[in-house]
Amino acid sequence: MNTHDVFATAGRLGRPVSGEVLIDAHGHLGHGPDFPIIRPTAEALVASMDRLGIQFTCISSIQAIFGDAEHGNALVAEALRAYPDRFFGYLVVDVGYPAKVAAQLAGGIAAGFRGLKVWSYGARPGLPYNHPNYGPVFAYANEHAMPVLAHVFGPELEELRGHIKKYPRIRWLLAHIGSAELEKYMGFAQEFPTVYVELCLSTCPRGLVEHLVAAGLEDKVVWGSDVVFLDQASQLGRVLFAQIPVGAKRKILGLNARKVLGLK
Amino acid sequence: MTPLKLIACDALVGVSRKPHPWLHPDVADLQRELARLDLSAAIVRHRQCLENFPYWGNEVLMRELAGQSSLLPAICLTPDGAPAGHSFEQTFASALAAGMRVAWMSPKEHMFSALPWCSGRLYAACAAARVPLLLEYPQVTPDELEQILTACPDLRLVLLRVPRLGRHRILYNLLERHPNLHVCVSSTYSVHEGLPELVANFGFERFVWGSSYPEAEGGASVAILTYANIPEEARRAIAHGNIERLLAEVKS
Repeated sequence: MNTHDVFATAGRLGRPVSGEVLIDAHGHLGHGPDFPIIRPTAEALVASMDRLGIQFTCISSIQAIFGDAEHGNALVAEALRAYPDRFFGYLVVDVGYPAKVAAQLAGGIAAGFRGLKVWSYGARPGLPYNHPNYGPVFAYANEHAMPVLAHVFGPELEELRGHIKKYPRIRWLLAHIGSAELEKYMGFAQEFPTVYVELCLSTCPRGLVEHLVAAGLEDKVVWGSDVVFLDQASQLGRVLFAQIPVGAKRKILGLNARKVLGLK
Repeated sequence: MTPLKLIACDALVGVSRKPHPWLHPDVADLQRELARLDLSAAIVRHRQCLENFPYWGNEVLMRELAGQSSLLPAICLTPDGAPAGHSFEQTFASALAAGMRVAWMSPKEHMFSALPWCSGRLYAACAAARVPLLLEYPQVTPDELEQILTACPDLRLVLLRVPRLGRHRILYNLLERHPNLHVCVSSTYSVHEGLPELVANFGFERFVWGSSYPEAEGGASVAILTYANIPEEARRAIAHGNIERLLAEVKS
């Protein structure tokens, strides 16, 4: 349909996408628990963004997600200070230890974080989203009308349903659509005005973006890459070359995220 | 500016017995993908080699690829050879005489050991004829790979579907130890700074490119290469030059 539009042409030539809004709604800094990541730094990430034409990447700390919120968040705060026009910070709190949470939330806001990242369980242990410890965290996000990026790989959707209904001021980004339970992800995006689905997935399923747009979800799909776990270019290529109208690419690659994240 | 010439080394054509909700990866679909992504050619395996008898699958592949000049068949091999005589040497010689330029194996699906005691004759034949052998990374263990490459140092083994494990603790060691190990870089190797780091550590001659057809959006693989922060000479070699050289060096 749009093999030779501005997005696909840039991708095929390896040129930065220019004159368009590109926002990566799902990124990280730091090393992974399973393997070392090559140059997982703010500087390397900005270089990647410049090669691709991405204005903003929304980042959280891998070390914070996997058990050290205090020091992990500090790395992201440093990146926010160094590149205030390039990064949007998701704060991570130690949900398992509720006595720490209030101070971490307040400190995060003061340090410039504008969203929350939650990660329940999966390759590492953690608390399901329907655990009572999440109540104060989501109440805070609701009070401050913050976006929440939630790691989801299928089963967690039902654990989030109650929170989505209870906290209507949160804009929810449900990560990794296509991983499992595709129809349920899509159903959440269709049912709840505050729910958006986020694309990053290492398997890059062919036809998924087209399927979502054909289902009428072009206003509810947000692009993210999962950098530095993944290569930002590979995830961008999924949308650059997608067989969808160019207007839908614009929404998915940036305009929807701008709205969800409250960016100018 | 002229787009990079791209040859995909990892295509798997053929519909599954269990239909996909929206994909129908037959030869016509693959040709449309080549046109859509502006790919010059693809090395093609057939799903019937996995879901049916492998040598039956080879026949299906040759039938379906007849007259398709941009699609190069990859022949599926097992260490026992085809049922007519069950002579691997005879099977290999026939395939070579029929124009085989690239082979593949799938030890898990076909219930044989990839270790040299079982598959050594397959590796020896491929090495002697310089036929590149494609192997999906999940088909073998790291220790099996180490043993294969140690026993058969001249084998031009091309790993497909290498997973995206950052500075890969297994892959880096194998590449360092085995100069004839090649890697097909595709969307499965979605590693932040991954391709530049491979090229910086091991040069560019042992990397080829794949589109992860049919499961993955080929644009993901295209972007990994077109946007990689590597010298243009390396990009062209990985895109097409290295596989063209490997295929040209086959002794028929």
